[in-house]
Amino acid sequence: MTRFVIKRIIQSIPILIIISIISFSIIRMAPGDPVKVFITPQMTYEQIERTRTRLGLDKPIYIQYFYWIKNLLKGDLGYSFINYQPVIKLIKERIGPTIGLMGISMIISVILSIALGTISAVYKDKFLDKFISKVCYIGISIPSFWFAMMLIYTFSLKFKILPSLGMRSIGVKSTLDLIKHGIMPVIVLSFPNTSILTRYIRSNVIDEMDENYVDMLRSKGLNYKRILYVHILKNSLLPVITILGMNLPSLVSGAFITESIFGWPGMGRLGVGSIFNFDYPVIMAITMLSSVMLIVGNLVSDICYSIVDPRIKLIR
Amino acid sequence: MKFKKILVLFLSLILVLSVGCGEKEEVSTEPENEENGTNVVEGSEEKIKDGGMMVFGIGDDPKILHPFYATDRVTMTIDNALFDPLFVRDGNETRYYLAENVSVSEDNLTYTVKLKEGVKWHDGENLTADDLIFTLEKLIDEKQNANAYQNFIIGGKPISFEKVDDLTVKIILPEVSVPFIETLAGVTPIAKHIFEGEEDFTKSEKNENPIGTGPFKMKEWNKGESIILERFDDYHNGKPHLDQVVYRVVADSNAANVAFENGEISVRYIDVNEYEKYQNSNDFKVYGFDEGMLNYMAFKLNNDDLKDKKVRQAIAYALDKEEIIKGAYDSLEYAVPAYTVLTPQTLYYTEDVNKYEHNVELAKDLLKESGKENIKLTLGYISTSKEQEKEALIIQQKLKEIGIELELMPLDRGAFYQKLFEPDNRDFDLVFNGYIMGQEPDSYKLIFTKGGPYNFVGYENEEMDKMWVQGPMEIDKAKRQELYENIQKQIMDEMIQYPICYPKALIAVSGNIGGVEESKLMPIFIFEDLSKLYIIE
Repeated sequence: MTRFVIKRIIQSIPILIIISIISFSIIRMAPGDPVKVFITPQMTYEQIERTRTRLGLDKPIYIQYFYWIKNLLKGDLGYSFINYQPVIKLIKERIGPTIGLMGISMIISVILSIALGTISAVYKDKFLDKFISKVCYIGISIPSFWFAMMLIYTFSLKFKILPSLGMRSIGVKSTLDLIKHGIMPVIVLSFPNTSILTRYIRSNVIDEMDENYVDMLRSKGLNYKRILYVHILKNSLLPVITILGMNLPSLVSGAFITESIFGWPGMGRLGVGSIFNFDYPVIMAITMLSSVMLIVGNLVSDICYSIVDPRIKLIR
Repeated sequence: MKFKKILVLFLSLILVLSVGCGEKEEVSTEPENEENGTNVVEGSEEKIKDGGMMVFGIGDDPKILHPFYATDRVTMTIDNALFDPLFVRDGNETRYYLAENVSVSEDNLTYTVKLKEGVKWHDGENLTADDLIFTLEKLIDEKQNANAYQNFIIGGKPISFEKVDDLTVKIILPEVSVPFIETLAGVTPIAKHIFEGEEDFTKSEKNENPIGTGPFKMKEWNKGESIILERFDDYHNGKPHLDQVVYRVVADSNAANVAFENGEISVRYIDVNEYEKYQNSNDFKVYGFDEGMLNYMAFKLNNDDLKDKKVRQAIAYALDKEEIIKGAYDSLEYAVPAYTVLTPQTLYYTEDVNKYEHNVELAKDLLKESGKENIKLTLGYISTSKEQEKEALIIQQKLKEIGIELELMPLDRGAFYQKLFEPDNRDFDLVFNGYIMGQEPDSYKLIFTKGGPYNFVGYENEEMDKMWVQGPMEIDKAKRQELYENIQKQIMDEMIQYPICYPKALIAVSGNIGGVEESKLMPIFIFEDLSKLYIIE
């Protein structure tokens, strides 16, 4: 097991390097110039060039890349071009709200989808199943910005029961207030995920029901409910692990549209803001962080697989 | 790379900044009809509430909250609440803030600034001449790289200054520069006792908790969420009415709309349609004001046809300015036709130039005289701008009438500016752009002189360049006026750029907010003096 993990980690290093080279080049190829963010009408050419030198942008790209990776190895993610704050500090400020928001919606998605998926499978083709399936189709296809605006329109503008903006009310620091602000973003984020997972679990449970071991267990006289909840469900959860593993990067990258609409101070907004401002160090830091999370997510889901389903052996 | 100043101005203009109020209160006053672009509230029987909160919506966090480095609208707006300038020049009027008065010596080389007595920093210390000296020292310190650095270097030499007494500073210029008064007005002192010993202001942690002299002081900065400022009781211009001013991040414009209608934020920049909608509502008040911006179409002189002055003039005659404006802005109420390259706020602005009234016959004659045939041109503009799109279509139609074929080239914003400032770019020949250059005509030389950083059309005229150099050194007002009027006449005669309009900035505020006129509506940060705003009781 330990050897497997170490091997996987070593394997991921070249992947990360390739990712960093590709993203570094793509960001630089985009039209635009980070220095322009600093320029005012009074500035002269020399002053602008000074800014460029200070940001290290006067050197050839490969040298800039080299510096960047050298600092990265020392644990230094650099300074933001925009406000000269250390990138680490910016990420620390924003990652909490995002992990909270994304984590809670992920947990809600998993719990809800296991329940709904199982119900759907048990009542296959009955009214309840059809109803859940219809709702899931809506959930999969609904555009998040539209859904978010509809929620705001209904709950903030019409009924005035939920705040539409931010994470806290001005000057209020209570948990209840935080929860109130979180309700709509969590709904918007968990609805599509819940819908997708429900569909997966439903079809897996249905498949498992036809397996021979189920017949065997029944012939042994086991209670059907026990078969369903212990044996079938356990085997049906494999795709959940995969999907959760794939979703892990969103814990650090956030959700731009949802965060923007609800004014949630998270990573998604930091990321897009830095893209608009050509804030290379921040863009690179977020890209790399997401990549690492993706690799970790895959690794963790592989390990989980081997635990949940001993048929899958970790290859040494 | 160096040619990007207008761009930034233009970009900062477009950055969304909306403003709002957090308290929902019944509104008893009704906005009256428009008068000079602003609404007048009938009778001034408004009861001023002591306290209350006003919420501005901002697109993103401010960048560096230090007056030396503000380049975007959000940062400038918040800086304006935290830091007071020495004084503000508005046309012929001067409004003093931290300075009690400023006198200029007869030879125009010595400026004496006397500070107001008893001005306090947010931490209770007194503002003294030492703070101003410290600020000036750092402004001319190349290492600090303040935005305005260059303005303090005159004729290649930095200004010098000396302390006269605790409140008076004498500033000596190396040579005469009339626009220096404008530079001086823009100086916002920083506190010596805060920043002394800081090596690099941009990276200083002091910027997280700025200490200024403005009407509001920093209370809380929740990154990515809100900035809460609270009333500064010792404000030198009298205690502000509101007890809190909040800047809330609203990244999405639809969400900002809802938040505004909901009362969660209370001042917004709006468009023409919204202006008309809110105008008839009791819950909101609308205001229009001049942002000092000119929108224009420039002729790139690396096109062989456009090198010919007659072709440029023909195009100008072929266009109907009012039709363009009505097409793009619905009515002349929201954008004033422009006939010269200066904005009306700029000193020595004149309309006494060739106005190129719409005249198709004359346009055709001029084209014939030029001998050019089958002219094909390309017009570059930003694809997401609705106004530019409409203007482009009208211009295309009009040029067809005189036999010029115009191809439209809408571009992504980033790509557009990159191409605009590439000297050799021949992808487009005509281009839409806009600028805010302020009230000093000297700054316009950046656009029209040879090698000027914004002279992306490539215009060269030695005679005129001499006049631009003479401008800032001319002490005699009448002569200076003549100089700049001549420049305007010549530029319009040469038709280097076709001015289209001065668009108005439109804002809406919640109905319960009063004191909008007293606070003076200004470009960029909307309200010059936040201490005058209040909640109507």
